[in-house]
Amino acid sequence: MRTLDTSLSEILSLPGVLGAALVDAVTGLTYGAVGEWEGTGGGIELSDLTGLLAERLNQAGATGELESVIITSRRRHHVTQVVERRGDAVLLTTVLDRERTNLALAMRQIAERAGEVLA
Amino acid sequence: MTDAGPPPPSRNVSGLLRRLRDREFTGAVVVSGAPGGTIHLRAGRVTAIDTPGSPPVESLLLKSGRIDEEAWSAARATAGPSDPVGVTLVEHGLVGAVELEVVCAAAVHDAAFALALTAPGGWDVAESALPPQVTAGPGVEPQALSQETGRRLTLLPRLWGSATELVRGRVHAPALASDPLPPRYREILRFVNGRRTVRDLAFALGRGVFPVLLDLSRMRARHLVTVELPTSTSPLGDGLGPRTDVGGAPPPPLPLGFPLPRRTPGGHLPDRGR
Repeated sequence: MRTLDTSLSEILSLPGVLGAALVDAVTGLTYGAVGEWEGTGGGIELSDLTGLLAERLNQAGATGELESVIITSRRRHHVTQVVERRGDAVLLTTVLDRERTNLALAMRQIAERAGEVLA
Repeated sequence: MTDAGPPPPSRNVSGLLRRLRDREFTGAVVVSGAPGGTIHLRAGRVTAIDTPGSPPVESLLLKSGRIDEEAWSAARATAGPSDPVGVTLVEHGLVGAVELEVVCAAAVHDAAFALALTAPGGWDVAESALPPQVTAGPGVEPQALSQETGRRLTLLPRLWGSATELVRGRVHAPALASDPLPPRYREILRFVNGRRTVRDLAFALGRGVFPVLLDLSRMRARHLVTVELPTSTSPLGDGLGPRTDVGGAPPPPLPLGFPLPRRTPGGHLPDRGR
């Protein structure tokens, strides 16, 4: 059977991706991680951050759900994609090398991969 | 298994699990008490925990609507010892292999949390226990599991209150919410009826007890729910846990001159939220 480790390693093979992790959106539990991804803090900080953003968006009247959170720094991009599923959502978070990445293209690729990460 | 001798005595279950990890033990640890449960190990890693204190993988898959009852029954009927239910579910395309691994890992962590809410009555190592119904993935490292369980147990008092009491508290929704709410909160409110406890809600929703508690704590901050803690004035607890808090000193005896009757665990099942 396909494993989470294999699934995340496939994302690691995308150009410019330095690390990836799958995190529970509610509990912050890190289900799996590959490469260098600790730069985003741990899974708990990540789920707290996206939980807070989703809540505030909702209170501000946004009708749709939170889709992704992008953090850019001088050397890295951190792209966190919400993966909706039956049951509690999970977060697919990736750390990208800014020098080697076109953010718009990377976001599209990651969103595509997010659909298959649990398969 | 690399060692035939009995494991040395341990001070607590997590200590025992760490020792069994060193020995790459395959089998089970049976924890007695309320709720009590069976911790399944493969090469020392925790692959599943059966306990009445938290929803099993089956509930997480069925109640959440990932898999329907009929497909589940069909998968169970074709599954055999060499072809466990998990593999069958994936082969039938009912759930993704990675998704099942994630659900199983979440269930293990939630069950460990539920077990840790009360002090165990005792524990036994069982070399030949019935294998767990569904497993997927390599299993959880005992060290990581006890760390995460510890984090969850200390987080709740900071957010809200004693997790041991909260899971047995009945959830009320004081008023109909008028604000737009996230789908998860709406779903919880659909099951809140003033009689279900936090744990009942988790079973009814097919979600973990800990994530439901986290959502309820945020909903409470928005005045969407209140939780009526189990007290001596509401004698109808859900019957799973003993009434004393874990870790804390027992309350001083009442000046009655005779001991109050004590509840004994067991004999009551939680309302699974029909």
